[in-house]
Amino acid sequence: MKSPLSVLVAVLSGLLVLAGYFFPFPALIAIRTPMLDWAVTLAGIAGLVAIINLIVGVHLKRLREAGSKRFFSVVVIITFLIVAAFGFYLGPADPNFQKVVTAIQTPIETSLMALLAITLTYSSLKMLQRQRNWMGLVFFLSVILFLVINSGVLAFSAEIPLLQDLLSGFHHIPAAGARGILLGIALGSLATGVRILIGSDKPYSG
Amino acid sequence: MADNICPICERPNDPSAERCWYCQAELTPTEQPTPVNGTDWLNGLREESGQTLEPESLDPTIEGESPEEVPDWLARIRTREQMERDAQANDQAAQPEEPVAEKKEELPDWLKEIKAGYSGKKSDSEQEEPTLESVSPFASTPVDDQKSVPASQDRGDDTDEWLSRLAAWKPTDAEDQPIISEPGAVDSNDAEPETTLTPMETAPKPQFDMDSLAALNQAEFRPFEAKRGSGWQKLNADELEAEQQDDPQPEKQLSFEDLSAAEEELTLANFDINALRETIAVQQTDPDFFSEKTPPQDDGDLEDEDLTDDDLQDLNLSGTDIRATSSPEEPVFSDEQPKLHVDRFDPSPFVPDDLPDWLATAKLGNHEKPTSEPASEDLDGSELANEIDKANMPEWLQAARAPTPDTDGLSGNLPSESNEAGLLAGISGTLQTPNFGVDIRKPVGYGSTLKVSERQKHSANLFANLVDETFDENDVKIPQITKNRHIIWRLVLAVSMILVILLSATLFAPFIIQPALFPPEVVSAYDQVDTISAEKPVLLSGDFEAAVAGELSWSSQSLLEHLMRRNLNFVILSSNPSGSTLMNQLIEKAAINVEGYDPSSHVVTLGYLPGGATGVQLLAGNPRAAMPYTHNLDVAWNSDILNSVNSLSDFSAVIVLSDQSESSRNWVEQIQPGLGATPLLFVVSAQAAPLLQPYYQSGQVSGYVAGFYGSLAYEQMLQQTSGSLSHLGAFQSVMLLVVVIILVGGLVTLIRPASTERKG
Repeated sequence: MKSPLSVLVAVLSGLLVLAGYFFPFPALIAIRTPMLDWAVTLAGIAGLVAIINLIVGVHLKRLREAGSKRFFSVVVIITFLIVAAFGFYLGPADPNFQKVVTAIQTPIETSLMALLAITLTYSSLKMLQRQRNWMGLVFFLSVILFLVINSGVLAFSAEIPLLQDLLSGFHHIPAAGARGILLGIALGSLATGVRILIGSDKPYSG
Repeated sequence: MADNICPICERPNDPSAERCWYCQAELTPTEQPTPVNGTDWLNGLREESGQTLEPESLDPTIEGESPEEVPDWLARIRTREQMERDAQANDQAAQPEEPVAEKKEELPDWLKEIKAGYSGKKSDSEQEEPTLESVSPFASTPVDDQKSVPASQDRGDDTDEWLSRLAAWKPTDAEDQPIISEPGAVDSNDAEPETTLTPMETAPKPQFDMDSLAALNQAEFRPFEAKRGSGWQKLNADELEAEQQDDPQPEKQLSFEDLSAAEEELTLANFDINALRETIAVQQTDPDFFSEKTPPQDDGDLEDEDLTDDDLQDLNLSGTDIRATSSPEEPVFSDEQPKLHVDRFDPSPFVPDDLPDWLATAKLGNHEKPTSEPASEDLDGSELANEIDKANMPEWLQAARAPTPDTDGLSGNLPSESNEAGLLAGISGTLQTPNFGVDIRKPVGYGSTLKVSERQKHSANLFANLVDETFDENDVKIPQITKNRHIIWRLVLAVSMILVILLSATLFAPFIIQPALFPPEVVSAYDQVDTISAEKPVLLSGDFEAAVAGELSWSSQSLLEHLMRRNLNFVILSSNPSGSTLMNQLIEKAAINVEGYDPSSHVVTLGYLPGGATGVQLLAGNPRAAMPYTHNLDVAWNSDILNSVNSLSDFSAVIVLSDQSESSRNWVEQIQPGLGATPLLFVVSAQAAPLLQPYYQSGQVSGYVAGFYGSLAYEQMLQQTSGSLSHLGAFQSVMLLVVVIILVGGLVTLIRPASTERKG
């Protein structure tokens, strides 16, 4: 069990932030804003630590191991050093430095998304092979139906009253599912927040 | 004047007497300085214990049945002791002795009164009843001390002195009558036949010369003596010296009671308490003494009645073995029982190097050698040490033993310093007593192993199976033909999609179906943008990855152009590290299509906002604190665009570009309550649109543009002829192709039997 001091700090911090959210008194805001600022700063430092860990703890360690992955680790480390050097030298607002994102990162990630589309299509061919049951069949039909609806080829249905009402009903199905998901997320978040505030859950205990 | 209470037997004595009339122990009339004599370390041992006595320990047979480890030095002690005992027995053989019953009758009234006043509560008949507990060699009763003392302390050399002192205390009775203690008269609470006072004529000689031991190691024992600063051990050094001169063999007795408390410490201090126990037992079991004061029939009764199974369990001995070695016809305490091998031992039990070696080499594990030998008539210490077996340690002692340092890995860490407490306190070179910090009488049984419940085992096995299954799946080798088939299918799909996209602009252009209706959320977004106040800046927040930059660029292009046409100022920030750059790219791309709009004078880039939802919450509460600088590290809020902004409600609109429903939800939940009348708009990917729809329907989101069709609808409302319409053919063609592929594949799968059925 962790120290009661850490639990006390966590609970008090949560209560102060929560109270400042519902009761925007100046005193509470004066406490709440610096605490959030600290949290944001720590989050930024955590990102920096993650980058250092990726380079030192993963790829530099992999260099000492035998295998074909060493080459890619070398590429990652060299690329990181070059980008970091240019970033510190030119600054993040420099248009030339921003091309690192626009000319390299964006095409690569977009290509991966395109490959994902092909992979999902190929996997859909075996949809019923893995789930040959009623739920699999319902899922299969749903995919077909909503792909057709979202493709826009049924735009002519606006002139057919019955079909228009039917398609309008189908459009509400995703919204209904999204509401259920959001309600579940809200209840889960509420329960988690209460557990943390009463000290029952300690996600900060590591 | 008050009586002088004996610290050993706690009986009243003459205030002028220097020794106890009963036990011949040194009396302490007043507080005396701490003695320096080497024998007082043993007195301290007596003081620590002094509670238990095992009358059964007087039985050498029973004691010998559970011998435990006996060091060499102890064996030599025993040998010398037996030599002296034999010599004493020969001297006393010529002196006639009166039976115990006769002595009992001759006990003077004044002595009976003294005994009755001290502890007499029971009648003689009650005291003579043997109890089952009396058989146990390790049973401890408060009164046992008083019974055992005379059995082992009296010495023939002190008889005259003792009688003279007794005569001085009660001259008329002591001179005429022999002093015989009545069995059980001293302590009526414990009716045991062997608790009688020992006549001085038959008192055995001391078998253990502790002074010689102390003299050899006086320097080492001195710290321990200094620590023993209370009780009857506080003897004057001068008196001790004079006493040693007068009495070369002082009455130093050890009893089990004296060791009971120290034993607990010794178990942790690597001290062989069992060996010391045997030494004491030998001293207390003088054959002469028991042969004359205990009738033979009593011995038989002891064997038949007192040796119960429980007692045998305490001894870890079998009852048959005990009975075989001690029959009623054969007295337990006889002169012939201790058969000595005197020739094999050095008459001097101690040499200066013995004790340090023993202490230095003492280990806990070496003393856990109980013996399976039921009884040993031979008191040869070396042979007993060789016959020690682990399994015969008494259960009560086994339970009281703390975990061995070896088990806990402490033995290697024990410093070679002197002990601060316990029997070996002050002796340098001994192993330290490990301080476990817990009750050593209740050792935990887990040792170095982990206690796991059945449920935990089940969960662990389940998890291990899951991991194994995962590895099995990874280790499954797919045939090369299957791999090639998968690659071919993927290539076919990719080529077909690319062909459809290329041919859509020409071949499928006549078949493009344009949407006839505008989504209401897009219409709402258009209306909000159209009514935004031009005096306030618009906050554009990018929260998307570079992978969806193409989709969001397509979706947001018309909306951004709409904003620029109204000549609005933008404040850009991103909760994604690369989002700030992508947002600048979107602004520059949209500005190309809007004439007269200069992004450098209308756009302020605040950069990256870390912290996720926390950062968004901080931004909603205090945007100046959340984003104090621009991405050029300039002070942001001094610019003309942000000079009048103190909160998010001071913006004319907040527009969030997001590709994930989770990030969209964070923005809605964190900043919407503080926006007031400021509209909150979204440009999202098509995958995030369903989750954002409830927020729009509830009014928390003013409007949003989702995906390709949202952008197309916005273009149509702006009456633009941008690229969205040109891309609509490719979009619809590929979507229909995918539908056909999935439908055909599903139908084929439904028609064809499963792979397992085909194989079967």
